[in-house]
Amino acid sequence: MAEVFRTFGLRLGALIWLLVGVWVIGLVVAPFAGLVARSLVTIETRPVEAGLELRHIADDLASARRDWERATDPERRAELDRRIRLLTDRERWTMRQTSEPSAEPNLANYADPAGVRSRALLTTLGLSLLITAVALVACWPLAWAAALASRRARVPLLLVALVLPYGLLEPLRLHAWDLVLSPTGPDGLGSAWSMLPAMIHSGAIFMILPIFAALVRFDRRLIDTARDLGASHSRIHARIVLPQAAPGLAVGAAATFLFSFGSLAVPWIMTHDRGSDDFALLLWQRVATTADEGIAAAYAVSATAASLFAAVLLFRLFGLRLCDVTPWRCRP
Amino acid sequence: MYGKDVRSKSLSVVHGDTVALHPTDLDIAAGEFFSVLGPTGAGKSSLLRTVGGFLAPTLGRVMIGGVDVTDLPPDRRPTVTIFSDPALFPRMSVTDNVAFGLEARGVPRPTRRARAAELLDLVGLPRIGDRRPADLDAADRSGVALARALAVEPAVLLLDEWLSTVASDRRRDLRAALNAIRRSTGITVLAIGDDHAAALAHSDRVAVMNAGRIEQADTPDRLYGRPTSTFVARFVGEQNVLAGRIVEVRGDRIAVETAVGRLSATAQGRVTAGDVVEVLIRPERLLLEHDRADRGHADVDPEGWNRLRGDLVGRSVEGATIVHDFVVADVHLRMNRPNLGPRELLIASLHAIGFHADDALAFPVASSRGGDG
Repeated sequence: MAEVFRTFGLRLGALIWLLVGVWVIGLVVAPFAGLVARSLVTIETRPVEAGLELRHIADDLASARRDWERATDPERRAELDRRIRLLTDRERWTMRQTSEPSAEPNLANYADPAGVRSRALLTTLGLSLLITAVALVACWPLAWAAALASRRARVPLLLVALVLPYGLLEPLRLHAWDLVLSPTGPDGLGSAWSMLPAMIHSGAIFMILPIFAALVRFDRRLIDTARDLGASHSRIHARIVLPQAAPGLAVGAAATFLFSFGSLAVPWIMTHDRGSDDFALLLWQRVATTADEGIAAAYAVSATAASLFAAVLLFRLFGLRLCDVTPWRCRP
Repeated sequence: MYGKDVRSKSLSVVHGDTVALHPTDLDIAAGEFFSVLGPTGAGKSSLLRTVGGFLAPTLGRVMIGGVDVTDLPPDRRPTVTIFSDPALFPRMSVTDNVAFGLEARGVPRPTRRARAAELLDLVGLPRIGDRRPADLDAADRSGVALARALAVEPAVLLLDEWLSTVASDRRRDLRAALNAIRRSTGITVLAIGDDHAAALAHSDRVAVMNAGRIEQADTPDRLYGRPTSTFVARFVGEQNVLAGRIVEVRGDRIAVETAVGRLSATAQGRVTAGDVVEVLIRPERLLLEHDRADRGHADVDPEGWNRLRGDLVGRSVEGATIVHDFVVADVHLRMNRPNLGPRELLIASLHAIGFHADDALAFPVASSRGGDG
């Protein structure tokens, strides 16, 4: 604390602490605390009248969406868009009218009797780790190429290898999402596999930049020296280069993992929880309707906890403690 | 194992338009400590790296122990290079660093750890085996680098400004350790750097490089006392420089007309009357008249003695030496006297000073070197 003021002076130091505080409280503590609090509240719906009303609305919504899919006339589409919006609002309103929060906080939202949710979570974790592993293998040579390139060649290389795919990929990735989420598209695992390459592609930037940063500072003379002492290239890689790049690898792996986990989790969990064919509808219901906010919050909390746990495991895998890559000092 | 001779024939390195190393012949005997001095860009680094195998020569061959190693990579040469920043492997312990070369050769762990401990003892750094390089100071790191290099028993040790990052008091210890190791192993050492005092003190021979060429390679004594060019004379140690014109030639002994008067000097190279020369006198060879008398030199070759009267304008104590700044006819002359105690010279007064013609080396100023100062 005092260090910041010593380095930046009173005014700039205060500003830095203020911004850090806004970040930590506004973007980390408050949302997460809110999520946890919300996940402990269950919504009780008065079953008879609400159920009937909601089912009518859901039927109307489904038929409107089907019509929208078939419609070719833009005017007709616009009309249906308007109808869908009205129906969604109506659905939300009905939910709110016919339901009330539980009096006592409880863990009912975390209940997972059929194990569907934990399976979905594990699958998501596995898939994210797979994406991370593939991205790591794919990015390692690329990061080396960029790090070894002359200063002049580096910029075009990074531009072509990183920025262009990343920039171009948003539409591509959207298309993959579209395939997965569209009501008429393939469903289940198959569609999820189809978006993996796109996910790896997008996640790669989180992988390559930390590795590049670690390698670009790499002292080439370490390699010269090791070679001079008679070490083979593979030994040099295993004993000198990889340990040296471990912090970059750990940060890259954790970032890629968290990115893919975050991107995957939503449709994945949504899809599997109900096994519905129509998961676009399901997704919107879950996210947009008041009634399921508690369960959505429970999803978010368990997903965050699981991903953080996995990220720490990744760090350990690269022989790093959290303190190696954070300002906290490691105990000897 | 240790100690092989290093020879090169017409070794040269060209980068595009610039010649880093002009064709150079090198002849280092087995077990010799050979130092190469020179300013930045003189080509000493290119020379060392071609011997070590880190740089392919444009022309010429490198022979180590009679074997042509020109086309061999560094790991297949009987050489190990130690860099100024010793490039210790940061994520390994000191022991693992020292044992790395043995590890690469498949030596079992207990054996190589024992050998590493021995070597650390040898360089005077016992009990640091479990530390990490980041926890060591520059001197310890340089010592560990030496132990690591010795572990693979190279025939030739290549030192690239080995101790340039080390504080001077620790340099002495490490040099002493290296000298002891040299005596016991007979290892050949080729060192480059710019610390001429250390090079003169520890080398069997010293070469001075300039602009990609070896100007002179000689024993420290001859290099310091009988430099063959003004460049060498001025690079190795300090010099007083007096410009002048030869008025008379009698064999080696010449008379030169300078700003401080007519001087007797020793010609370096072929000269004739009328030539423009630079007369170089080492600050410690410039003497006070009474010092000369004290040392009993007064009667030695009085013909060759140059007498001047100088105004002492400055005096600074540099430890063992006291540096005196004299002005003779607007020319500053520096005199280094041993610090022998309280017998001080009076500042801002005239003193009788002088130097012998044998200590005044006159180098012809070639027209091409006119701008050299």
